[in-house]
Amino acid sequence: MMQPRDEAIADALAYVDDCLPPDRRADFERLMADDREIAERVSAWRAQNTAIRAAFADGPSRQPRVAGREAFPRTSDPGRAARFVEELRRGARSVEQTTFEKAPAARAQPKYGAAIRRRLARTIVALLAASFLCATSVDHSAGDRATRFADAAFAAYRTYANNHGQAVEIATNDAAALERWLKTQLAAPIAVPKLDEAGFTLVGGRVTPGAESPAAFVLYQNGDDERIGLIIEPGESAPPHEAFASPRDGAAALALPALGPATLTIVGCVDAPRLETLARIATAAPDPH
Amino acid sequence: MSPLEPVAEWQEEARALRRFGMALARDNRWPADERSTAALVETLISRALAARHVDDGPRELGPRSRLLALFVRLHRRHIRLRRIQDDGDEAGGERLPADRMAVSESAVERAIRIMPFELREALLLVALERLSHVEAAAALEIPLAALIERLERARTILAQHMTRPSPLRSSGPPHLRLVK
Repeated sequence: MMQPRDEAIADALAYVDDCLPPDRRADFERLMADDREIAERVSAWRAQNTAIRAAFADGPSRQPRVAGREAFPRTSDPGRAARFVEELRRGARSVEQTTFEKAPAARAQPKYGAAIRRRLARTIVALLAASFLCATSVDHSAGDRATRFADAAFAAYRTYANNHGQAVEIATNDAAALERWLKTQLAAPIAVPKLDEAGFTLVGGRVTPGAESPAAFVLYQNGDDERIGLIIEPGESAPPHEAFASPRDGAAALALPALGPATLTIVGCVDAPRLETLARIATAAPDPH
Repeated sequence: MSPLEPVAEWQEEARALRRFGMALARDNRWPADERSTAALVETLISRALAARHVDDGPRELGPRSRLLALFVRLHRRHIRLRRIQDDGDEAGGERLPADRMAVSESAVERAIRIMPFELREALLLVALERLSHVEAAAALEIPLAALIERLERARTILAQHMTRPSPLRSSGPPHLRLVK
């Protein structure tokens, strides 16, 4: 049972947070008039509410300056997080699940490419809409889960791969250094594969929204300026293993188990055999750095 | 969140969740920068918006409070998983040293960044998102008495920080040494 003092505190909190019933407000205001300590407490708590609302009014566009040494030099852009978010949200994010062999060839354009893509996109949207309306439990299905990994990978690739100004947060070809930074940012160990064997060198990395938790987006480039993205998402759940093609920009993605408890999604404008080769290299045991 | 949902339907809700999420997810135990925290919040927003269609979150709550409840639940799960993965590592250990704290943040922000999650959740739902105590207790899946106790503890911590000088400035003015 509540003691009178506890009850007064509970009423004071409810009064400050505007959830004291009207019939008890008057009683409490009389109590405040007689009890200076309670009155001061209410006044301080009201000031706290005002301060909290003022402090967090701006949302994620605020960029606190951080004291102390940075591991890497970085460009400072206070609105970049917010712009990134809006860019991701605006993008059409429909994806086509396909078999591994049917992933499109790199930059292959069909004869009536635009019309076919539009029709294909409309069909996919209709199918997805029908499946969504018919079965709300689809969100938990394995197929839909795999789609979310591909969805996040396509969104990150579209946003960053060819964004030459801000493709990566940390520009480095040192995989070990990037792993150290990513571990700090994601609070989870991340293994950054080397794709030198396939002719791709490391450009750098950043953190991006993933399917189920924040993920590392690691970017590679070859001598022909082709860019491949690896989205490495730490997580304990069993990773999906499926291939996808984006009808929008001809990119292909393959989600598969990574080294350690993580899902690796490879994304790029490459054909199925190259995607398969890259997957094999990326999931091979790493060389000691 | 379904990719088929019209943008206008969820954009307003996402904005509100983003404000709450950034306040909740900034934590001095993890020296993640602002953009990495934003990536976490965006992921959780997407999952909360998707989960409201299928998840059996607190039914007694209105749509907005229920969305906040789902976000809290997903955030708790994320924290739990990360702690398991990094057991004994720096991610689950010490608070961020004072010299790594954001120098531009206010005393309120600093206090909220370092207070325990359970207190932070309660305080932000009530003070920032203006949920009633009954709604906040339902969202956090705790009894009303427990919410009151958490709110009082959170406000005590906040009061201490609002009257205390910043740790970055606590050393006072520099000592000047006279030289001949």
